[in-house]
Amino acid sequence: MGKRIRVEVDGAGADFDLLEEWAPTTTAALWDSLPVETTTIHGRVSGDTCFVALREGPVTKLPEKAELGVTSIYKGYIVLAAFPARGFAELFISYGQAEYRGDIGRLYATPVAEVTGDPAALFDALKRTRAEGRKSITVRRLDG
Amino acid sequence: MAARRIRINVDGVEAVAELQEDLSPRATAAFWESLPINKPLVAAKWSGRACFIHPAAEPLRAIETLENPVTSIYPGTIVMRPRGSEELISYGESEYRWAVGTDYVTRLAKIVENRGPLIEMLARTHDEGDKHITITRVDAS
Amino acid sequence: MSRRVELEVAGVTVTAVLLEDLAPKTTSAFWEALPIQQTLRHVRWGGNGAYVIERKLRDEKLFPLENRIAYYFPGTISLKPEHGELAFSYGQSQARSLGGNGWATHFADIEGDTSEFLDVLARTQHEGGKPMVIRRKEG
Repeated sequence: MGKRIRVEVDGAGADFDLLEEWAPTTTAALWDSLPVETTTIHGRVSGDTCFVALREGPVTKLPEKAELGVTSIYKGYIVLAAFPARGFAELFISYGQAEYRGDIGRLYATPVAEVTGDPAALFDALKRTRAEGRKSITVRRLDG
Repeated sequence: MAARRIRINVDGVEAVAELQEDLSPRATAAFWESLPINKPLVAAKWSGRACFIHPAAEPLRAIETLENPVTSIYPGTIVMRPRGSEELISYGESEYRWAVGTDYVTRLAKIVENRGPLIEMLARTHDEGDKHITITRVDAS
Repeated sequence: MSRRVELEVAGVTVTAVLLEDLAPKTTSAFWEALPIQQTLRHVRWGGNGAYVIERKLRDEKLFPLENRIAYYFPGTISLKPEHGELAFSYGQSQARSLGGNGWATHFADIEGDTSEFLDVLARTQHEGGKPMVIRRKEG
């Protein structure tokens, strides 16, 4: 069984499988950068998604080029984009229809995790950031 | 209710996929009606690490619009163009494109069992050429 | 007089003339890398084309690109030096990758009747990779 993480927003959480087969380097860096306790806000131009800035750990040194480039963020998936020159990486967690974009159009990130179980409560919490604003988020390892 | 499942066989390697009925109710219903599929599987030439089928199935022609469209095709995902003229399955980095550029597709199914070996077989189309694919319903009984 | 090379794949041999005036650095590097014996495969992103990877041609000194093109035309040979990728076209084809449209150096043209050669390129999509040899044409 592969590595798993848990994401909790405002007390509502879900477990995710790391996509180690798809992105071994990126998922390993994410694993080694956990746990993270910070805040998340709704995406501005990327649709039904919230993002989290990671400012510590090996993820901040990942290359900018995505290990497996995607622009669509499938519902229930987490993607990671790295900005090593600026010393951070960001995670985008999708609860619906989402595409990783910037001010000038589509960008590429690496899918790192896929939700398992019932994500309804987590998705509701993520969705509420659009109206309610910033919320606390923890991302931690499961099983060690 | 549990999602309906399909069995995919490519040159003897078998995997099971779940239909993405919550995301694409109309397209997956038409896709289910179009089964079984028994076709050549060909390496994509515009969409990256993916293979395509031309199903030419009547139920799919009625699906004219996209449902929850995506352009990236995640590994092990089966997608469809509107009107079902083309279905693709990805084995790596893949984005739906054709001559004029990037376009969008509807997701039909996601491999949930034996994904690794099937993806390896799909990847072999790049070196080995066409393979044969069958897609059948997994009976609920 | 421009130098020429022979390309042989699946029993078909064609001659190509190097565009030495238009791409002097690239044609020189290409000549020095010969003979090339690699597998010709169909492109994944670029449409109606095929490619060969030759790592000896992966060279930062071949930037900036000479005789820069974005579209591959049938009967031409182009190079993407970031990959050491020699690109051939049998129809509508473009220098693309996941990141979108890109560029290459157009450095050689195939002479004479190209129909059988283009047919071999097209067949790589359905038949898979084929061994290709590229060698200097002396004399």
